[in-house]
Amino acid sequence: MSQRLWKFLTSLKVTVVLLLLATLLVFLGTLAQVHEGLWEAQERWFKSYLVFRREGDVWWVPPIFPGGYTIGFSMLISLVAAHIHRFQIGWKKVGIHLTHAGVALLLVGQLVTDMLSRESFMRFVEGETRAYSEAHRDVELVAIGEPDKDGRERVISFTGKAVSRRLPLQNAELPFEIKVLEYAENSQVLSLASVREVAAQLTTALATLEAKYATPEGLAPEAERAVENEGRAAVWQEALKTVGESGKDIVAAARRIAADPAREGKLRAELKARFREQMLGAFQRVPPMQMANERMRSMKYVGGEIAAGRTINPDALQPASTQGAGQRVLLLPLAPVRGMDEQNVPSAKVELFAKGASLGVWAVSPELTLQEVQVDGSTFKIGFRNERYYQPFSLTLVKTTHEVYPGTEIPKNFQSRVLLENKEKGEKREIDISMNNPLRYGGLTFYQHQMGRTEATGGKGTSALQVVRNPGWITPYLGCAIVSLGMAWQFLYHLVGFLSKPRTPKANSIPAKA
Amino acid sequence: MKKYIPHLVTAVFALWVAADWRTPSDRPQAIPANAFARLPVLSNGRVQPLDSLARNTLLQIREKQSVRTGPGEQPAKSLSAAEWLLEMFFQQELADTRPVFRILHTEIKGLLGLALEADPAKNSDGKHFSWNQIRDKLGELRDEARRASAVAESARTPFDRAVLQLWNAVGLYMRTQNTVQPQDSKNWERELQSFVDAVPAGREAAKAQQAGQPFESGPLEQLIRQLQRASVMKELAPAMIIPPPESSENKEGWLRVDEVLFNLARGDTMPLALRAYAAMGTAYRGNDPVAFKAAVERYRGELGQSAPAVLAKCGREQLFNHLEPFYKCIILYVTAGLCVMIFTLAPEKLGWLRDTARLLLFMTLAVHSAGLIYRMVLEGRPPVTNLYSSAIFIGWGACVLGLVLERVWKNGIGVLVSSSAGFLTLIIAHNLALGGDTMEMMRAVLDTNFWLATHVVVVTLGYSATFVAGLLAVLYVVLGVFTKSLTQDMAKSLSKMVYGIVCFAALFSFIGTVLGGIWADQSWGRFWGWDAKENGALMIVLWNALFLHARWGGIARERGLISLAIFGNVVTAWSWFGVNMLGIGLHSYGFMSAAFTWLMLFVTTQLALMGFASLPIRFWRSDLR
Repeated sequence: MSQRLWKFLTSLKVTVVLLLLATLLVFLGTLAQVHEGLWEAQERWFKSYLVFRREGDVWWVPPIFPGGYTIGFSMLISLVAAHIHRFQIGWKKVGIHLTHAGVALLLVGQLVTDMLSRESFMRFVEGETRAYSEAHRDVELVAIGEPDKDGRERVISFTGKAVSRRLPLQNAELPFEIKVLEYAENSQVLSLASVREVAAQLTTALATLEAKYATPEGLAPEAERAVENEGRAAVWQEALKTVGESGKDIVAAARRIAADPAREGKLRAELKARFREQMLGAFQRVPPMQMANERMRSMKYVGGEIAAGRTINPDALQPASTQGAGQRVLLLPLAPVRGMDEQNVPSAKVELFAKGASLGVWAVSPELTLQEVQVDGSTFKIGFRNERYYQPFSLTLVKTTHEVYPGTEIPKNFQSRVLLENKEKGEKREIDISMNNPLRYGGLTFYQHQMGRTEATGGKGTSALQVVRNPGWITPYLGCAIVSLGMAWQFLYHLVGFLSKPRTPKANSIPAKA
Repeated sequence: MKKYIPHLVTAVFALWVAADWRTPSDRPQAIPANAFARLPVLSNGRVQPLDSLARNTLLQIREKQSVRTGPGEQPAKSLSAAEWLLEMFFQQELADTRPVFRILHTEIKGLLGLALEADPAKNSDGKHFSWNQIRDKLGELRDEARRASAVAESARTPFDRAVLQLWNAVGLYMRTQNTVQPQDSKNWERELQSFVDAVPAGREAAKAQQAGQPFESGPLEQLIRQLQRASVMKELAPAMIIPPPESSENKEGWLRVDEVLFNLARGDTMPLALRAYAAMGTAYRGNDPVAFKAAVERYRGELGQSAPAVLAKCGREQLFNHLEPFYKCIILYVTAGLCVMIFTLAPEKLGWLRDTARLLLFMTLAVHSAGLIYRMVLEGRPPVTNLYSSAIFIGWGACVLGLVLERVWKNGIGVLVSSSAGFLTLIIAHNLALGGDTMEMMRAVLDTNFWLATHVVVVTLGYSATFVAGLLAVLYVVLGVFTKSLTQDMAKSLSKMVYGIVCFAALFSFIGTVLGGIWADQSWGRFWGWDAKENGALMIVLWNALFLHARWGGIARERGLISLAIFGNVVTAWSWFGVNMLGIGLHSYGFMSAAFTWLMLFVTTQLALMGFASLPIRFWRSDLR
């Protein structure tokens, strides 16, 4: 049995099948990025053991497929086994051995990187200093105590994962316990006041519309008003067409129909429906750049709800929490997004207990500021924020440079000048970080990621650095060097053999490379 | 006598190529269009001769580098790109009669009320239309373009795409006409002069107006009128034709004409370039070659003092445009390919044809290499910087590999591979060039000659080799299934060639891919990110490794390996083009739907060939039993 297994493991057939599966996986995993986004597709296809077909998948997704880890580990095992099995000392095989050893190292390196590397971002405006970087997606629930004598804050954090699992959260330094009541991977935070206001306005507007066309007598005066406005006139003309009127003179047509009981009811219904649709449409159409505007977001939400046939009673809206900033907001769960540029806004409702007694419910989300909690005379600030990784040194953004080629939008150079300060080591120097020119320091590498200039920061430049910690970074370099050496050896070995053989003039006499 | 035929044929073709190796000159009694086209302009982020601007603009609008008059005009006339640009700059009303908008989509023709078929009475060949022919319906086109641009890129119909393409061409056309002067100007030189003359009085008047004192309204109104025209030009954002002043630190601070007009209104002095172009306009409209030449020379004289390097670079680029080395290579590859195909009909008798093809191919390779190197020097870049140059380089690599094979096997197969690979890749390059400037600037993240020279070159050679192996395998199947010419010997040597080339391809695609990973590690902080293009390269590596292991393990026999090698074509085509069409990832260059049809067609043919390869041997016309 074990011999058969050994034979199976070391056979080239297995290698070929694995290579075929790997090619297929890479192909499918690339295609999947179109629908799932890079991050999701990566997690699902490459950083997994098995891929299962699930609801809503595109037609080509197979019921089950081996994931990247399965294929990668199998390759590694087969590679090592085949080596042990076939290992022969001799110059002829040195190249092959080196090549495969290098490939094995690359595989190991990729697995190590996968498990140990961490990517985060450091974002700042010119003049700002940061001693930490932030995760792109992972969030943490923090409770920050009052600063100690040295001015340092006590930060107690719980990972987003613990929150999502609704584990009871406690810490010896915390005078209270946190119980997670609700958690949403993605959500929308709306100002309660704004939603109430907008909902009241829309309800009134719809009621007014209803009243205007409640009786046939309303038609003529409304038509007269419509003439003054091109948009309204166009709606009228469309509606008139449905009752068999096509003339330019709206007012005359309105008078005619108001006197015609067979048609006036239909016209009023048509007008109401059209103006209502127009109104709701205007509420929901918010350009993406306006989404930061609280009122706009509320309009979109309210418009969407009413268009979907739901009603919003401003007085019945419940605030997200009984304490803190959540008292002033609505918290609405949303379907998680997976696109490259889309970001989820996680949120949770938590109840705090001190000595068994409830202190109330707080709502936390990266969209809400940190909120104060007072227990036994000490103050804590709690909130949800992107997970932070603190470093023993700080970077200050001194200056950003963003150049494009003249007359175009093509970026020519992104560059951040930063001041690196490490008090422990007494280091203080300025460094330029640009594309293809990262800063390596303290086991981390800082890459120029994004750059901007926003009105919100008073026209100051902003910069985002990607911060990577990857203890396995050296393996691809080594692996690549070993494989290249192996391949070059193999190539040269055969070349030398080929050249030292006596040449025969006959065609077709070239020995094949092994 | 037959001994000398190969040399003779090659020499004739070499002469044909060499004949163009000189600065294009102008006819003595005509407007010197070529001297004009050597003048520099800053467009698309780089300084280039007007010649390049003209050719690239025409390529995008008309898909050709020249203009032919409509069938209704006698005698028929052909305009070079430079001649057309002269009309576009200085005599817009004449340019508006030239059929430069290539419109093939019948629905668009319907939308614009154009002739569907060639119709001399309407002065139309049914494919190309002038501004005057489409101008009346531009409003409709604009509405359609607005609608189509709101549709998601992947959901656009062929009509939507054609509308957007034409709308883009219309924008380009208007931009070009407003480069030197407002397009409605009838005597720019005089208008410019009276504008300049009005500046002092106009400024006084403006100051007085602001101070609430009485002022003379005439000069101020004139200034405002001119500046309003300048604002129209500004909105179109044409190319920058005014070089930075000699004193300026910023050598890239080129200006558009509208910017200069605003500067003049602020009291700046008139740059010589603006005056020179205005003088050229007058001379052109008055058909005065002497005055035109004088204006060009005066401007060149000044540039020779202030920016000799720019002038020299433009001269070189114009010569390169004029040489069209890759276009000539297409013809040479076809000729060599034909020779060797005729040779295969009777290899014993027609040996001299193989020699001709081989010699011709060496000459072609020299031209191809020269073109490649010339481009590199012009750009100051390694050979591959974008999709267009990757096609040129893949063709070059395949040609070299084919010639190496020919040197070893001496049976014409290498020549056939070289010529067909060279021809196909250059045709692809030709079509890619329709997108506009092929020497575009590199975005910041790609702007590193070291990695472009190592990773990109090596990985492209890997593509090249995989294609050559695939092509050899295709030959094996085509010759074997459809002809009787595939002998046992030949089959054996072909499969050896495939094997050798796959070894080479595996080596290069592996090293290229890993180098890419190292570049990514250097610039983005991760060795491997599962980006679409990275994955494409990885698939080539995996596929080549699969081929090699299948051979070593005896898992696939000769014809199985041939099928695997043919599928290598599919994998490589996917990596080269397919992933770009997904519109995802860091390497995506936009959705290229036109190429998608071709890619699908290519994949289908390759799969069909694999099907033929697996036919039982008794159905093969060649006897391989």
